[in-house]
Amino acid sequence: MIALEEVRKTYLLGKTKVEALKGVTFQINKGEMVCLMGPSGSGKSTLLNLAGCLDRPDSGKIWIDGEEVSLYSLKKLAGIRSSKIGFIFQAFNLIPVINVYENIEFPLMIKKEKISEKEKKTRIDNLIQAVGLEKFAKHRPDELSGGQRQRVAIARALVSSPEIVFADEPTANLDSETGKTILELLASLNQNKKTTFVFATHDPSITRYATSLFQMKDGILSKKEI
Amino acid sequence: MNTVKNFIKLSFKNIRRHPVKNFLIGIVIFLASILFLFNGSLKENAESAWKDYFSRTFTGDYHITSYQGLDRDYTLPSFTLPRKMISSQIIDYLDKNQVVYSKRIKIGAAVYDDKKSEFKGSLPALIGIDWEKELALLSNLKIVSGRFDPDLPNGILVWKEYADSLKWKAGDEITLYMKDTEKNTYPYSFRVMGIVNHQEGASLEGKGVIQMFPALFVSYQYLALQLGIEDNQAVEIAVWDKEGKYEKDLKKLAEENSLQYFQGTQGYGIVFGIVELLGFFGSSIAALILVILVVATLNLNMMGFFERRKEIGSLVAMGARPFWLVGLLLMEMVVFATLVFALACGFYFILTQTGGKGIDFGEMAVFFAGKKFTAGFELQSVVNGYLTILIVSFISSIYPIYLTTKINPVDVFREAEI
Repeated sequence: MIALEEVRKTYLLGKTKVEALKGVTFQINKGEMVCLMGPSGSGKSTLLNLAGCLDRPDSGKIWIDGEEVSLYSLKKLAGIRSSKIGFIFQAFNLIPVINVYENIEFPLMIKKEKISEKEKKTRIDNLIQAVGLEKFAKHRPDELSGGQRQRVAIARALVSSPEIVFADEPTANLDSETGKTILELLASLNQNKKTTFVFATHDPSITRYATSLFQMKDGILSKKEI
Repeated sequence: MNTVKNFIKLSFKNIRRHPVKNFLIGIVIFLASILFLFNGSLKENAESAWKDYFSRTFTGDYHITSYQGLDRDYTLPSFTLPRKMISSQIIDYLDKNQVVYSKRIKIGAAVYDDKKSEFKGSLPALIGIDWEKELALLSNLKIVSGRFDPDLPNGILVWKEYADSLKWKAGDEITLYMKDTEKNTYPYSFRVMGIVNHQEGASLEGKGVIQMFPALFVSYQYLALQLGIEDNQAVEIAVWDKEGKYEKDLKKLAEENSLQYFQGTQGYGIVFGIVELLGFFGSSIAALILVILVVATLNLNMMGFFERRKEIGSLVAMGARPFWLVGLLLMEMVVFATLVFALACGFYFILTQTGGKGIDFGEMAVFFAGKKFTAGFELQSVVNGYLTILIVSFISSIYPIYLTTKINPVDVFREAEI
């Protein structure tokens, strides 16, 4: 489903060149639950950004569903993101002025392919139910707890029925109990809908749910046995 | 359609989200809108007050003259009759449509100073009018001394300020020098039967080099006879058509016959200048406001842009394309500008309704032909003001919106981590 071949990425931090990825090659198949482990600054988020079409590599190739996307324009990458990819951000990144229902609805507003109002409502209502926020649909993000916000972010990432969801430190801002609930929710979605998940984390508790485990260190990726 | 609806919905929510920033931008737009509406009213007041003044005091609602260029100016009248007269086509049109009009002969007349053996200062405009018709139509004129005598063929009514400057009184015999149709200059005798002044309105009678209203009224028939102008011919036509029903046709006929069409203010160059000055003054204030508005809103929009970078980065990460973001932000700008402008219009409308009998500008009343200023709610000013506010808001949003389309979510998220 997603394949990376010899992908390299260097950033400039002030005048210093930081080699975030040093020739990463790996593959993710449909329905997998992949976990990228590693300390801060090891290149996990950079790998997630490249695989999630948020950024372009300096060299190497990226394929999504057989299409080579590494040379796509930013506009074309935006199209792929809205149709195939969902993101769960560490800091939730919800839109503060709109309520839970509207936040979840947002990706559908952006999406090029339009769906009927009825279908839209059904999808959102089902997701709100799935993440257990029925009572909070009309609440704004600042009226929710950290766990509830993360659940909104999950529902938002799933509403456009993406084939793959990238989650960057999904449990970092949550207490262990809420983190567990969230991970079980994602695992059930993976089981029931065959949605592919890629986690970037240094939380070892996530590995319990992973079907593949990778270790990132100094921009180099290595596979680990579960 | 749904996208627009969503944009509008989000715009309202985002406007409420930055109350301080939007309050500040709102105040600037509000004040600019009020000043725009007020400015429009200033020029409109001046124009309509002067138009009414000239209509009832000198020129009718509008004029057609065979004088060209500056020679048509009542404050600088020509010493020579024009080469051609008003065409019969125009007179036939007026008769056929039963338009209220009057034929006139206008010429600059010189007064000779016997003591200094030279002609005196500027020429007064001598206007030959149909007494019976015009003394009723020129309703703002009043005879302040002497009396009108229809049986006195060479009787003349002299504008008070001019009579005072030459020490003429009712009953005086005066001599004016004019050029006849053969371009020969002769002296003509007149009897001052009355001194005239306006009943209400501006007191612009200047005592300087250029006198504002050195107008003298004589009988059309007598003047035509003296100058050798054939009966029924006219140098000018004054038309009373307040609604402007025939204005378009007459303008066109004047153009076809190489005649000049003008309104009162344009026939009195100095007054025209005053109105234009007021317009220029208003436009200058408006331009200044616009510059302040652009700078203020640009700065505040930039602040808004930096505040929302992370949120916009998230939208981009979710797949929002640049045109979508531009649409959203432009809609926010339009909704906000429209809301504030509507509020300003409402406030200004209330002001116009509660303004009483108008504002007395004292010495500055000359701008409004001596009348009080009454703030009006002009549709044209509303349209112009709204479009200007929209354009200015758009200009001050271009750069922040451009920056928005260049946001790279990866950079934004990395900055957020720092």
